[in-house]
Amino acid sequence: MTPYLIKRLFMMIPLLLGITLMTFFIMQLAPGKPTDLVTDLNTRMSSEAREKLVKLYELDRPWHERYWKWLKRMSRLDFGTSFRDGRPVIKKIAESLPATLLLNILSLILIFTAALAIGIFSAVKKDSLFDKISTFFVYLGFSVPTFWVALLLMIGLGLKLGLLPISGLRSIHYSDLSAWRKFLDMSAHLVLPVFVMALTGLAGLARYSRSAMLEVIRQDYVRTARAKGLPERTVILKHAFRNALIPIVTLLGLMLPELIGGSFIFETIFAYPGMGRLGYDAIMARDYPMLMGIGTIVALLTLAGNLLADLLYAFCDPRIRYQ
Amino acid sequence: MTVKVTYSEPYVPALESWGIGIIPKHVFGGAKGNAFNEHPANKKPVGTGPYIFKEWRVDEKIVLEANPKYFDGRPHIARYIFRVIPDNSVEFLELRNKSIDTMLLTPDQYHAYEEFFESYNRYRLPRAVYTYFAFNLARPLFKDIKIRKALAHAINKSELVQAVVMGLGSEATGPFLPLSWAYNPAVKDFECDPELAKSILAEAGWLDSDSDGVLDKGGKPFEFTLITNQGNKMRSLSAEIIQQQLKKAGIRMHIRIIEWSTFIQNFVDKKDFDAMILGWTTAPDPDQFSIWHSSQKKEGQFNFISYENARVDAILEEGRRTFDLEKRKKLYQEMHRIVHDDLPYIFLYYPDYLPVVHERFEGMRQVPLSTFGFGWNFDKWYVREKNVKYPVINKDL
Repeated sequence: MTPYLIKRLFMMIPLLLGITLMTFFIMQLAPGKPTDLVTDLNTRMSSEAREKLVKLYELDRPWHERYWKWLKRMSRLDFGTSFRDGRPVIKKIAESLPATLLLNILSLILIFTAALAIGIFSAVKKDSLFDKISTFFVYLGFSVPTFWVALLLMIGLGLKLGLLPISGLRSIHYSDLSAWRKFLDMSAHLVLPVFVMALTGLAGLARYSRSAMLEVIRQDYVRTARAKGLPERTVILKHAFRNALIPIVTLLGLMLPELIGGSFIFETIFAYPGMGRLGYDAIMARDYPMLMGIGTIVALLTLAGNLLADLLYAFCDPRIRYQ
Repeated sequence: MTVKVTYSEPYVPALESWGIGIIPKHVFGGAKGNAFNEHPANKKPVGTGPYIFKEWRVDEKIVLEANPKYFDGRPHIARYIFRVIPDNSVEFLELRNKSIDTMLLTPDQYHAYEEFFESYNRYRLPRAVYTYFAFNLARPLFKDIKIRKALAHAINKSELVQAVVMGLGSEATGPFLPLSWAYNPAVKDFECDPELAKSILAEAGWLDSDSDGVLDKGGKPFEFTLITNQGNKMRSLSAEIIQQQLKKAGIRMHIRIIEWSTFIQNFVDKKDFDAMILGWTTAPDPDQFSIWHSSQKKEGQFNFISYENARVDAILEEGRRTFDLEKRKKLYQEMHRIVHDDLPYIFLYYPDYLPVVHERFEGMRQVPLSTFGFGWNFDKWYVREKNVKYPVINKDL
């Protein structure tokens, strides 16, 4: 196992290099540069001043030269500073990451519990009314546009009924609240985003767990368990469910990059301060160091997630062994 | 303290161009170049204004607190929280929920059901912006002023004002705004008359010889492409309406909407376009040298339509040297007329500025001075004690 792990880890280095090289190259293909935000159509900006700015950020150097420089800095784990506000990239990521993690972990927990419950029930009671209704609603949640559901819920629960705050992560007077009130305030703000996010992610996983369960239920050992005279509850939860979990668990590893990438649409609709908006703003501003920073971290996590998925697979399924 | 700046020649907009925040030496310590840009103090500005910077939560909010040492007395409103809400319809929901006190409305929000505004005051003020339709004068099709005139007659500006800004704006006649002293109220706009447009074009040889509804000359149809940037609903809507209006005069106009950076880099800067819709924000001083002077036509400069008029050049040069307001007024009003008649742009409309403020705030005074005409005296705004919504808990304020 250990040699396999070491081999996999070493293989990640050229992959990561390749990804950053591609990212850097593609970034240069897009028209525009970071300084445009201040210079575009600014009649108070002379062409000399523009050139000075381009020089200051070394944008006049060829791209491979700049990539090499970036790589050298990265080897010291220095992500550089954002062109937009001159603050360290790593600090900006560290500011946005907790909010994104919080939202994604909560909604993932909700997705997994709901999807597994729905999946098992629909598999056990296949073709029953519950199966049909849950399938219908799961697909409905998957198909309707998120921003529309979000706006409807905001109007209904926020504006008309006044039960929940409409957007944001904290109330305006948050800093004046006691610790307990702060917790309540943040929880109330999280209900809608977590729910809407879970709604869209539910469909795939619920179908996955349903089919995994259906397959397991047909196996001989489940029949054996029933033949032994075990109660149906034990058969389903102990013998069938555990094995149905195997393919689901590996999906967890693949969700790791999603966990920190954030979602631009959710964060924009809910005025939520997270990674999705940080990334989007960096793209629009052609903030190269910021984009490279986010790109590298997401790439690293994707690779780590793939590895984790493989390892979890071996861990859950004794039939699989890596040499 | 007195700051003295010496110019080699008179430059009237000099004072305005000096609008820059204080860079305190004791904070920045003389940092230069990149060290200045990356200085942490950029995120914690220190100045002499009515409010003190308190907190900045990225993508969430900025908090300001009243400056007790402000030269004109401590502002009445103790805390100003600027919330970041990226989506406009969500921002409007927050307003209806009374969880925000002020925002800028779009024209359709301004006309929304009355009950939304029961505890808010809507304002309608002039805004220092105009939207225009620019011709690329370097393109053979638009070199002839008769053709441009025909298009000006074919476009119905009052329809644009009604449809695009829902009547919350006015028809534009030139590069100066009605609130500016440089504006020439005597300029009569081209009247909307599609038939006149057609007859002008017929004189120039453009006829619908194959009766397909599109004019042609020498076997070539009258068509061109108009570009505008992505993400500006008013501009794309204007483009669609103009497309319909020109169609009635037998002109086929294609529309291309392009992402901002690509739009500027590959089309505007390279002067690779037939026509476009864009807007200018104007400063209080009417000097528009970089937009209209014939020396400003190089790649990346702002006379991207290649406009050239010797008299306008002379006015622009003289205007920035002349300190006598009456003389300047005459110069710029003359320029307003020339630029209107020359038709390098078809000036479309001046959209209004539509802020909304909770009714508990009092003391605002409006002045006709660009966009800053509203909120300029924010330090004198106040809320009567019985109406206070957020009592400040922090005692030292």
